[in-house]
Amino acid sequence: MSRIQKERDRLLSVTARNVGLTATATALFCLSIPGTLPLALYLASVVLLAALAFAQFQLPTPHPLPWIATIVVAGVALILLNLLPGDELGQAALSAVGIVAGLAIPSVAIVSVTGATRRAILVCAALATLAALIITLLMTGSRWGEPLVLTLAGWIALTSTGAWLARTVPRTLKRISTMSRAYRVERQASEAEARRRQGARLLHDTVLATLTLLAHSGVGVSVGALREQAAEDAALLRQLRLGFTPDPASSGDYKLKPVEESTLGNTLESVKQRFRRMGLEVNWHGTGQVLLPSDILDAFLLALAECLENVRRHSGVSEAHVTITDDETTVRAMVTDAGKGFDVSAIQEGRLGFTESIVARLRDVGGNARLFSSPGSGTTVVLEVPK
Amino acid sequence: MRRSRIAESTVSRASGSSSEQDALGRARLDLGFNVAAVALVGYQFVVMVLNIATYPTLSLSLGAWALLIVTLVAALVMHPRLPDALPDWTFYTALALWAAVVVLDIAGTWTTGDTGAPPTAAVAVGAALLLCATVRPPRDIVVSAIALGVALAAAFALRGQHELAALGPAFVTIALATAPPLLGVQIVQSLRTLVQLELDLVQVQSTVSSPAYAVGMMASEELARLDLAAERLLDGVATGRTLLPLDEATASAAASIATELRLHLIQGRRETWLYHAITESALLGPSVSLTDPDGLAGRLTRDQRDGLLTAVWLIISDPVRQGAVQTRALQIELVRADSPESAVPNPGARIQIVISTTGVPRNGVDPAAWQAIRKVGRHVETFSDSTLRIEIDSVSHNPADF
Repeated sequence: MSRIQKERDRLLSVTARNVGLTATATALFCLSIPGTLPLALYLASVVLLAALAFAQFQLPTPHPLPWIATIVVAGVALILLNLLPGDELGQAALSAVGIVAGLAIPSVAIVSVTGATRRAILVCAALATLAALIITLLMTGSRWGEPLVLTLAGWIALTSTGAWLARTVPRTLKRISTMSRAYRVERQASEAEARRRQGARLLHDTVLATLTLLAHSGVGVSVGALREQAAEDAALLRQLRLGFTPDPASSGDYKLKPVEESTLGNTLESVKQRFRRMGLEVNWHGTGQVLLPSDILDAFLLALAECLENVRRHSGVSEAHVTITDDETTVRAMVTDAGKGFDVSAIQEGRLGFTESIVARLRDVGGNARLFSSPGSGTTVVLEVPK
Repeated sequence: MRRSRIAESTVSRASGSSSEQDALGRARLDLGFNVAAVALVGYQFVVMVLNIATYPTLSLSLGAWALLIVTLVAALVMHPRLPDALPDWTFYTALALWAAVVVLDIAGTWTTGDTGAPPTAAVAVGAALLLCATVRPPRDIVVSAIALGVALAAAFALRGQHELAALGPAFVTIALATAPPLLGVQIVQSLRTLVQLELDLVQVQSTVSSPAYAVGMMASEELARLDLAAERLLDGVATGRTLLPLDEATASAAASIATELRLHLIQGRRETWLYHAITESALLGPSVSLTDPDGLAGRLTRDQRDGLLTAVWLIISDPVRQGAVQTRALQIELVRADSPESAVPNPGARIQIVISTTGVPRNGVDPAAWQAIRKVGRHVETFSDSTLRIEIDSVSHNPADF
């Protein structure tokens, strides 16, 4: 059986169960009014109602046919049981009979609209119910109008609800599954878009440099030059947004010299804020006024962020220290935490994200990374990049 | 052209409910509850006709019926012209009219004791509410249905019952007024849950054909957002709207845009399709955790990915589909299996996938989930301490992504 059919049957049977149980509870209320039935018959009808309710509750199981049969048999028996006193049925008994014939038994109609066999069962059940009802009402000489009309209305309403659901569910699910292609295309487009934007390196280099300069109040650059540069960068970004991939190297010169290098300090501050938001307090020590070429800064920053991310995830502590030092040739960052630590030798080559993502990126720009740790005594990572 | 595509993709991701509305909207155009509602209204009308001799003030009840029929016909005529969700003013107008119907009908059937006629138009209002179940939020319908039930119960109580047996029709009347809209709401809710889950599955499954490592759906949006923020800031400086030197807040905004942009630009494709599938799913995201340090998920073939994802989705979605609260949590761990028979040339990558879930009853796993797991590889399942552990041994020949 396909998944769609399964979902459809599940919805139908749950609906049938809810409708049926509501009706059975109402019938129980009606029959429980004192004087409706003699005690022995009342007890018998409670047993039948219990059987009815149990079978209705079992409708969502994989093989509902026995339960459908139980519902019909118990329901018809409940109706016929009212023949026994031999008197005209009172208001409460009439109500109970109407509810059983018009709602409790037809709850099976909701699950019986799928397949020819079940439709045949549906017709038989409806006829059996009607026959039992008419016999009971006529033989007791009771008022027949309301119960009979309620029964007709109930069977029509519940059969149509079942038929509607049985048609709607598969149709809706099929419609959704045709959307999967659209999702796939959207995903590919989103990937391509990310790649396009990431690919615009030169553009982003100048934008980043200008932003950094602005963040530093444009020290050492005239206001006019800064404005001009900002205008040019904004125009390039606009082109990128509109779908072009501008390449500033061929469209013009960089106007400002200092943009090719960025200071570490304010960038580090942003990293710190980022990790604070994620629950890791980062303490900086040492110099912040180191100028680095932007590709080296990128690698350095990414490696640093990765180390801090590892601390955040694995160390078990919420504080890390980063010490930045530099000499003539090298900038060094030492990331330490007082967390769990681990046995470095126990880690297989290539098993830790460390090697791949941190070291490889640093080596690309001529840097290096080293890892020191042992269980219980924290972890230290030293990152180095050339100036 | 491209711009509109981006806007579109952002919108459709932000509101999965718009496509959900669409799917449900189509369903609404079908018969819906129309036949059921008409049958119930018809039944009440027949009851009125059968009891027509017993009405204390027949004109009031007839007035109630006239008003109800007018509103129902108006609804039928307006129906194709109305938007998918019934506007507030229409619904509240209808509610006010139906409240008038209830008042008129109760007044028309009012006598002390139980000799009076049964309310009918007031009960048929329940069927009218059933019609609204597909076009209004559930709360509206539930509150209205309960109010209707309370009004009818109060009317019966205030009239005073001399004969206990008269309680029977009272129970049935109240049940027939309140049960249809409430059950209708339940049906619409189940249908809505089903649609949401199905949309989630479709979205998740779109990852199986993506490359082993991907940036995910969020990355381009995030990058676009940062680019736009940078553009606005630079534009402000260029046009002189933003004064130089920048004030402290703007300066720090510039610095943080730069840093975030830098990180996003150099962010490699470090996460696998499986990671994106899980994080992007509203269903899987909160309850599934993934441990895959080597990105082994990327080595699975398309079929294996589909099997793994479908199995996990089925296990997690099962209680939700049955209308229960999510109680299941699931961990997926992918590790490289040691390959003892390395004598075989190019044996393919052997990956061990361990799925452990809590909150799943021993036999509570959808058979379709096992079927899906079989697509991934041979599996062994164990059950201990209310944790179901499925170990899958999968062999992948997927050289494309190496």
